Amino acid sequence: MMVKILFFGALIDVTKTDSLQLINIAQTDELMAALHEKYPLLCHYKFSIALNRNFINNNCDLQDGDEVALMPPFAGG
Amino acid sequence: MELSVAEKERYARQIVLNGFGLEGQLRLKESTVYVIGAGGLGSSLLLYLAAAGIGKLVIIDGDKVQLNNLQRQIIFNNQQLQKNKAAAAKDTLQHLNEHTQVEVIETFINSENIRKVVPEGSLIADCSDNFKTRFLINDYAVEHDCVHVSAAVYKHQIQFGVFNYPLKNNERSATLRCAFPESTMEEIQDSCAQTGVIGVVPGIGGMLIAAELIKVINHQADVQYNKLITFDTNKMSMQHWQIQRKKQ
Repeated sequence: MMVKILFFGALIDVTKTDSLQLINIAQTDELMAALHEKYPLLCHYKFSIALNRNFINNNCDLQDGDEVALMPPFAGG
Repeated sequence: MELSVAEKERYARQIVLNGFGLEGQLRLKESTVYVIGAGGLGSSLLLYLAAAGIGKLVIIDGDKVQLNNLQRQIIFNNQQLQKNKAAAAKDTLQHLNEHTQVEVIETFINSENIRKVVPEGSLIADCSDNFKTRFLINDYAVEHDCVHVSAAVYKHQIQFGVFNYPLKNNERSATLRCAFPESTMEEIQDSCAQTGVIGVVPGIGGMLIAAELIKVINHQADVQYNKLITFDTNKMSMQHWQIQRKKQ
């Protein structure tokens, strides 16, 4: 099972990439734990999570091919 | 209210559009837009709204024009350095379209003055440059039945959306806070000054707000509410992210 992760804004500065793929992740909470382990600096940022282009607030099950986006709010104008 | 012969000629290319017409042009003429921030987003927004024939623009900004603004804040020029941005923008707009009335409020918006400056039910263009102001505008819009059209940039990326839009069931669409709840409101220093920006990026952001506002004023069916839209100028890609309205 493979999940695609997209990063936006300042999170790209943290991860040095705008996307990656992870395998065998069953839920979004598990995914976040894996990403915080891979990128410890993520803990300094606040962001929302979108699953398959829908913002979510709770832990969700993941399916093969799902896309999860980590979206911080922007402020520049 | 009517359109003069000169106005009909000036706006001929949009009046001829199917679904726009003289009626749409009159709606623009009868409308007022409150523009908070006359920076990189506000520059292109104001130029396009004035050119389109919005009846009245109220520009709210307490900042002054700096030399390092001119790379992206295209409504200003060398002769306007150190002038208040709202007043300087008015000077430019009056040369662009004498049919648009421009009111200037030379102050930064805050929780004390927003009630005095922005009336209930207004159309607000959020062109601010910090989280505190963005969420102040969001919360004011919710409490006072305002439509809030907002854009923000980070380097080569733009976020924008139409928030608190009135729906047919007498409810309102999702807000900025629905996408980014309280927990994500910490002040992060990511202004253009710190992170850098190519001038055209906020320019596009302002144009996106202007495009949506014109649709909102004309009650078009394809107003893009209940979503956050991202635009990446490196990839030239646009993506839509659905937001559910939450209890405010």
